[in-house]
Amino acid sequence: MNRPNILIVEDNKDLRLLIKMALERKGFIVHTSENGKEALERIDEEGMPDLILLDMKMPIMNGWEFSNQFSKRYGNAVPIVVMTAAQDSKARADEIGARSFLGKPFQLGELFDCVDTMLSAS
Amino acid sequence: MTLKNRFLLVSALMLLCSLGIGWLMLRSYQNVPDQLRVARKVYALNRELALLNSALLDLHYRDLERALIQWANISNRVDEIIEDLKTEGVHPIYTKSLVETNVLIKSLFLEAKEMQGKDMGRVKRGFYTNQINLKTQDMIMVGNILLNSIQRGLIKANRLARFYILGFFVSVILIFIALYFFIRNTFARPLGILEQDVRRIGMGNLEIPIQVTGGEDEIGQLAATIDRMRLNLRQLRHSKDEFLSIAAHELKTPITVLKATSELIRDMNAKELENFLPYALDTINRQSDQLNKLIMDVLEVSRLELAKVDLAKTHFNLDRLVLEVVKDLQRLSDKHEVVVSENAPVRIHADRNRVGQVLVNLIENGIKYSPAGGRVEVTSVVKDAKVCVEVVDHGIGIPKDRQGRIFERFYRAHTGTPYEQTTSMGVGLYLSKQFIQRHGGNIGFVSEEGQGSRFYFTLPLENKEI
Repeated sequence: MNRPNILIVEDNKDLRLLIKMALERKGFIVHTSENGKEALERIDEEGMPDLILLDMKMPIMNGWEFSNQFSKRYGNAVPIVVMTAAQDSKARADEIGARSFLGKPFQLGELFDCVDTMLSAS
Repeated sequence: MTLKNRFLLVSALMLLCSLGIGWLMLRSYQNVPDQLRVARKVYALNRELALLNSALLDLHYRDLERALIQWANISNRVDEIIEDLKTEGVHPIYTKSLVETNVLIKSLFLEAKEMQGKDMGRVKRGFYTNQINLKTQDMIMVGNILLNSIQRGLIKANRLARFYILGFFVSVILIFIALYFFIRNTFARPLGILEQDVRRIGMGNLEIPIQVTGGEDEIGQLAATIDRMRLNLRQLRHSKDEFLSIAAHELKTPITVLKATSELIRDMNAKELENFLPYALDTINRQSDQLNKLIMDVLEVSRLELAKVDLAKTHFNLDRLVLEVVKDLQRLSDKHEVVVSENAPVRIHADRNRVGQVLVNLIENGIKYSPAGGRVEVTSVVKDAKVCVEVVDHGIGIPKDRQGRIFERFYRAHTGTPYEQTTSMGVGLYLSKQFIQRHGGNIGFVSEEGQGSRFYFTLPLENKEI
C-alpha cells in the first residue's frame, strides 16, 4: 500500500510542525502550508494530497476562501478535515462542506482516528 | 417644531381664546350701567311729575300762587333731568317730545298765571288743571316707553351674556379636549413608543431601530440619540463578541500545541526524545508565554474598562528591556530581522511590564504586518527630557481611511483585507496607548500604505535620570 499524502494548512508554526511530526511517526507523507494561498500553489505544483487538514482562521487566505477556490478547481474528490477553535466546530465544517472536523484543542488520538477514518473511506 | 415652540403656540392660542370670550362677555354688559343710569333718571322724572300732579290736585286753584312756585321748582328740576337725559345719549325722539310737552305745560301755567287777577270760572280752572294733568300724563308715557326700551335692552344683554357663558363653558371643554390630544400626540404616544423601544434595548435586542418619527422636536432628538446609542452598543457588542471569539481561538491554539507536545513526549522512545526534547521545551515555553500574554491582554482590557489600572512603577534600564524584548520576539519569525540600531542607555521610572508590553505590541505588529519578511528596526533616543522609542517596519502599512481609528478598542485595521491577522484581537494598540498615556507619554505613528509604518512612543524622564 502506498503511503498516504497529507497536506496540513495551519498558520501556527508550532502546531503545524507538531502535527507533521506526529503524522510522520505514523508513517504518512506530510506537507505543510502556512495559509490557503500557499496550499493552493503547492497543490498546483506538487499534485493532489489524499487528505487536507485545514485551519480556518489564517492570514492572507483563510479556510473559507481556500475551500471555495479548492472546490472550484478540483471538485470535492479529496476529503477536507477542518481544525477549528470555534464553539460549534460542526457548523464550521458544514459551512464549507468539509467531510469532518477536529475541535481545538484536540488529542493526537482524535487526529489519528479522524485521519484513518477519512483515508479508509476514500 | 420644537416642543418649546409648540408649547408657546398652544398657550398663546388658549390665551387668545379666553381673552376673546372674556371681551365678548364684557361687551354684552357694557351698556347695562348706562341704561340703568338712564332708567334712574326716568324714575326721577316720574317722581317729579307725580309731585306736580299731586300739587295741582291738592291746591286746585285755591292757592294758585303756591302752585306756581311749586311748579317753577319742579319745572326746573324736570329741565335739568331732560338735559341729563340728552347728555346720556337718549334717542332725541324721546327728549324732543319731553321738551315739547314741558314747554306746553309751561305755557299753560303762564296762561293760568296771566289770568290770575281775572275772574276765572270753575270751568276755566278745571280746563287748565285737566290740560296740565294730561300733558303730565304724556310725559309719564314717554318715560314709560323709554323704560320699556331700556328693559328690552337689558333682557337682550342678559340673553347675550347667558349665551356667552354657555360659549365659555363649551370652549373650556373644547380647550381641554384639544389639550388632551395635544398631550397625547406630543408626549404620551411618542414617549410610549420610545419607552417600549428603550425597554427592548434594555432587554438586549439591539437590532430593531427606534421607531419615533417626525423627529424635529426634543422627543425626536432624544429618540435619535438613543438610536445612535443603540448602534454604538451594537457595534461594541459585536466587537466584544468578536474579541471573545478571537480570544477563545487564540487560547485554544496554544493549548492544542501544548497537548500535542506532551502526547508526543509520552509516546516517544528514548532515542526520539533526545532529538525532540529541546524543541519541545522551547515550544512549551513559547506557547506558555503566548497564553500568558493573551490572558494579560484580556485582563488589562477589562481592568481598563473598570478604570482599575494601577501602574507598578520601578526604576529600571529601558535599554536592557528593549534588548530583552527584541531577543524574545526574534524567535517568532525566521523571515524577519529585528534590529536595534540605536539604544541610548537610560534609566526610567515606569511600569516595566507595561512598557515591555507596549514594546512587544509594536514590534509584533511590525512583524505581523510585514508578511513578506524583512527588517524591523528599533531605536531608542533621549531628547528634551524624554526618551523616544521608534519601531519601523517596511510592511503593508495602514490604509489612510483607517488610520484614525487604530487606537480604538477592538478596532482591527486590516479586517476584511488579505492581511487580516488571526492573532489580532484589536487591543494591542489600544492598550499601548492607554499605558503610555498613563505614564504621561505620547504615542503616535506615520504610515504609508504599501510602504510600512513608523510607530513611536515617548516617556518623560525625571531630572536625576538624565
